[in-house]
Amino acid sequence: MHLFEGDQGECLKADIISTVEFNHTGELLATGDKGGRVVIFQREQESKNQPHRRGEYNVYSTFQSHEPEFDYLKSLEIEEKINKIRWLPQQNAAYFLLSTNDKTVKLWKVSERGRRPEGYNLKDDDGRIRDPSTITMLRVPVLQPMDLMVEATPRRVFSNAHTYHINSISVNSDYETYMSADDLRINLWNLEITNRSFNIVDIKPANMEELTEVITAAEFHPNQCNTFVYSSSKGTIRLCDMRAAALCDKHSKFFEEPEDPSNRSFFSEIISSISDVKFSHSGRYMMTRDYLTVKVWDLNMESRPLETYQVHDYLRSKLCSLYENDCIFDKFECVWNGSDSVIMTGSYNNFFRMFDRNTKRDVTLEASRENSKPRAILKPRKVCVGGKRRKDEISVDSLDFSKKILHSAWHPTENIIAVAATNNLYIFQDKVN
Amino acid sequence: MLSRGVKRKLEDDDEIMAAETSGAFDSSSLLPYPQQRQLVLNMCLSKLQSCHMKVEPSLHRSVLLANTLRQIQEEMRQEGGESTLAPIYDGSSCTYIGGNPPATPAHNPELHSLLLESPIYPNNSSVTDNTTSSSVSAILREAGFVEDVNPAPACLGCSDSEELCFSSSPSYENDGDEQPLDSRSSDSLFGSFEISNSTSYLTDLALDDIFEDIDTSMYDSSDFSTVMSFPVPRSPASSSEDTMKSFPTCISPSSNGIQICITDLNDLDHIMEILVGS
Repeated sequence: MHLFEGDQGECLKADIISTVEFNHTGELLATGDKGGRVVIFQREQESKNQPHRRGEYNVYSTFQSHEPEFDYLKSLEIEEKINKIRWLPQQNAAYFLLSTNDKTVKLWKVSERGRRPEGYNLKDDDGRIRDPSTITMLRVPVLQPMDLMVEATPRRVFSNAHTYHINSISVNSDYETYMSADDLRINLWNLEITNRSFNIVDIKPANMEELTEVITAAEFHPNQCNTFVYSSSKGTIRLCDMRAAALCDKHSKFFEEPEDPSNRSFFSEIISSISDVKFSHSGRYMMTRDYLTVKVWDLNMESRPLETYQVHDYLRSKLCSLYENDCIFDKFECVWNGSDSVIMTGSYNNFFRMFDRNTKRDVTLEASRENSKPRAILKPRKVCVGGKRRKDEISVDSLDFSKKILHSAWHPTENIIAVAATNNLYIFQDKVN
Repeated sequence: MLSRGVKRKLEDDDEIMAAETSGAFDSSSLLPYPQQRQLVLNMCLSKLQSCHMKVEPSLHRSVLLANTLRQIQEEMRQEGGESTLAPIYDGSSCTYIGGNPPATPAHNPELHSLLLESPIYPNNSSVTDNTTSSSVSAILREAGFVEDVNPAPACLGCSDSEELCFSSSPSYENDGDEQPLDSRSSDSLFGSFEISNSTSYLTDLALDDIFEDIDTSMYDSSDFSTVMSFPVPRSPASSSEDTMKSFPTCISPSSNGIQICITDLNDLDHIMEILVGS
């Protein structure tokens, strides 16, 4: 088991992509990185002249969302790494998104400026003040077209509400509120109000020595604005209804799969820790990702998941090495496709996996420049577990554990996926003849 | 300290050992179960001790490590201690002795008594009677999760002798005894993660005692100007916890009040006046 670092040439730590998210129409794709920057890509309008360039994504806007900070009380740095980005649905010409680091959530407005006023009386078009004595007549400034400029401005800063590290944000379907979740608490915010938030979940024990479980992810239901779920480090998911009480410490539903005693090891708890939870678009199902599997749950059945997919079960015998090099703590995300028929998640060696829920077929693909040319069809990959290794297969011990795909996104309606491999973003589309 | 990336051709002793032990573990599960368990225990401890204190350590990771540690300790305790091996811990350095592989009981029969004399428990008191939770707490306390009176910016766990971690902590004094779980929230397991919200931390301490050695007679209380940016609470006699809770609001980079106040002794005097209400 090797961690090959530096084989590809050192990449700047700040360039490592830490989150990827399409907006609600799929026209925009946002990425956040460890350096606190947000880069937004926009899909090109399809043109008849170049039909093969079917809607490619180009950089639309880049801005610095978060800066490194220093917590003077604890003498610790606050990382500027963007943990999550969530888009707000579009209501006017401007785009709005929420971005968060460990402590602070910010609402950004991204808007275009294509025109500017020209013909002021008191100043030149460059901005220089005109000498009043030279002004002989008055004119009305007129809006003239200019080169398109995209500007991002922070509209709200939601800070000082989290003692622990924020791991999730989720916009409510009422489009008025959103929640932010850290290791022990979940807060509910109104998008307009920054100086107040409501604590809706608090699992901090009175005595911190009794702490055995933390919150790992949280999400609002896509249709029911009173419902949300949060997952824990012990592999459980709690569904809460905000109508029941102000403080949702008492869950409405509790999802947990009983442990398989034959698979028990020292690391059972660590690998059961859920790293991501996502509702399906329909709102009927939810999907959870733990270290080795992806599970699809029916919201009406709490006793066990509906479907379980093995992402990289060949790692089960390597858990000790993965624990030693800290890979066992990697947090993989998972995504649904638009119709909830396919789910996708990442793995190591820049592999990512897709599972078709209907046909029960799965495929392993690789996001790398060497092994695929632009616009070539991706070749399925296979990991050889033991015994004879066939020509195209790769053995478990040759996997590169420093190349991990933790973040990915699926276009809301089309078969376009965005996959973040360390500091590179790959966008794949369905090939159409 | 176990490194993150282990290439087998690296020359470092620790890394070779780590690679070899991990290879041994994975490629042949011929290692007896107690040895496997010991290996995991050692790794748990060394991970908890890792001193990356520049950025706040992840609570999620620490909880998972602590739970694994507790689970192993509970198992070892239930087995009655016959084949228990104390983690081979060198108190003089932050890392564990990577060069000394967890030996089988057959080769080092005296090791099983190490649990009693382990330098982890500095008072050298018998700990075999302790509950699992308090021994885990002791280890984690050593790892630097204890709250200090003066929260030192330096890595709490990376001290040359383990005594250092404790000498500045008032809550450590009777550490050797078996402690009930709910004793003293000030030496909480994950205390370093949160200082501002721990109200008992402040009410336990007599603030006057902390600052009594500071001679404030020279300073005129009329020199108030530098404290203007500090958000004075509404009532001067407000409890210290309210004042402490207002601290986090100062932490954003746009307000530069509190750090200027603290470092200046003159301002410290004014803050003390406000806190103590004198």
